[in-house]
Amino acid sequence: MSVLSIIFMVGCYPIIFLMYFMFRNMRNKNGYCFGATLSKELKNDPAIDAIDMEYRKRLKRDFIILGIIPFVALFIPYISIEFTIWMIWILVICFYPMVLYAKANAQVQELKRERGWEQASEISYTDLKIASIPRKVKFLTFFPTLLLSVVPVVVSYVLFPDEGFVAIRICMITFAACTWMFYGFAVLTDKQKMAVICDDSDTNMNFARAKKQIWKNFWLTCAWINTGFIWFVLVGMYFRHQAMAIIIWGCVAYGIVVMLIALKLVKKINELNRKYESKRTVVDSATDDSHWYYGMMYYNPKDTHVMVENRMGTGTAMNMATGVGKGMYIVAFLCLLIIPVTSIWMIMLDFTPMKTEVVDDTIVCTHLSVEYEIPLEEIESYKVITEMPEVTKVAGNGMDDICSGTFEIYREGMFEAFYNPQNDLFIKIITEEETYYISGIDDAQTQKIIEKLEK
Amino acid sequence: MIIAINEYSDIPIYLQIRNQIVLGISDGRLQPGEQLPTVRGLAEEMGVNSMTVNKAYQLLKQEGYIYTDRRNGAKVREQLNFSPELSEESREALQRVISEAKIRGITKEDFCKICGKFYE
Repeated sequence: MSVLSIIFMVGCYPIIFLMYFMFRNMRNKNGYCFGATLSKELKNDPAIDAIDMEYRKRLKRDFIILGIIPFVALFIPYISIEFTIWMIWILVICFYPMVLYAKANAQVQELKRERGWEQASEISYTDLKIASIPRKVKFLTFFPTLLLSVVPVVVSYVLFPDEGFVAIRICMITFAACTWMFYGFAVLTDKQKMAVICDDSDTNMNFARAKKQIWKNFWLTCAWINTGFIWFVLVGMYFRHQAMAIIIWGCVAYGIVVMLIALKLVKKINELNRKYESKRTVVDSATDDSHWYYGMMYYNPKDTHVMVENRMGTGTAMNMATGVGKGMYIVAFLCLLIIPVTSIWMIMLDFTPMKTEVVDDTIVCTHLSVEYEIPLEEIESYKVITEMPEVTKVAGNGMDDICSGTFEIYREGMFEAFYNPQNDLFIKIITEEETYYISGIDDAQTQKIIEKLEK
Repeated sequence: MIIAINEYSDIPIYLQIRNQIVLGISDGRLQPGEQLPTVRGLAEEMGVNSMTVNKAYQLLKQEGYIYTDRRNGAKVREQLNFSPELSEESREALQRVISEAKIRGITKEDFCKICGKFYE
């Protein structure tokens, strides 16, 4: 089992349980039936029973099948294929239940049309008491974590100014940005419209207050964990040589913790909804079915809210009619686009053979493109070695059969790498500007280079 | 108190807010002296522009239903000192409703019954 498999198994496999429990019961979530407005009596109609049974059956069956796929990936010897399978699996796990949900939503809408059930009205309810609740998210509450997220980034520049930490520093800046993003989400969630569930203002207010508190605590916890992780990375930098390994395993632990917190959030929101379900008499139809595409995508130009409660029970939905909403959807799409692009790139890396040859008195190292060109006249010295020292990747790729990019040898410094770690022959080349460790695709190819160098 | 707004109604939203608050005061759901949400708070909660809520509050203030001060925001007036007669606008509206009722064949007694029900 490769390290990648362990990382994915520990960090990503639990997503399947999270998604299954999130989507298991959609018949009566927040007063909606598969994202459609239906009264309590109509939700118990035999036709709805049939839709619900079919949905549950397919969800269970397909999730069992999907649960087996990652175990198949364990037996694939190519890292790029394994990575691609995992990436596609994660995408399918996240989006497939939405497809089933959308299908059930379409069936319920169709049923509503056929039987003339409850025509959509555009009445929006607002409780004056909810509107009077002070905001739960205050900048000062988040300020310590926001400040502490930036400090390690600055400290890393002071303590470890050398180029060897570029990748780690980018990782730190990304996580620091996430802490600030969590604060932004907390503000948006706090500002989202709270559902009016009944005629009693006190009940509405208590429900809204509890929900806001749960969300605030969730984002605050996420922000603190994120900040904690940035400090962990800073500490990891002290162990220079093992820093990357420490950070990768830290990422796995971070992923698990965030997932547990997300599970706790789902549980708390579900508990709250269950507690107030018996008191629910009003279904806010302002955000009625016409504004909800497939019961999950919200588009309402007349609503200034950026975030609204989604109809799937736990999370929120962006209003695609607002500028921020459109922006978020574009960002999400671009993030998703990274997955196929990375997978294709990794497959190309894995299946394109490396080549090192001497052309016109220049050593040319080619993989996907020409990576290095070392004119023979610029070489000050070279040395043939039979074993590579222990190296750390700074930037580039370190796969099973090719290491290329900038690497570092502890106490020796950085160098440019282009070698097959499976080989037994390597050449260390020193020029005025750089140090290179190179090899051919196999020892025979390396031997040819050595012969040319000797001449 | 719950405000119900119909976005597709011919009545502008600010007027719907005003009407609902007046209704709330008349049926006791809004008590004298009761604090109303801030313009920003209500606008954010309703998902409408702040100017819309501000317009409704200005109208309510102008008509004497609420008062505002910078420190405490808007509150329902403790004592509503109106002369016991309808405003010109309300008279016109009532006349319109009566005419419609007449055309629809509603008798005077039935109409008074409906009025009585709403009045109570």
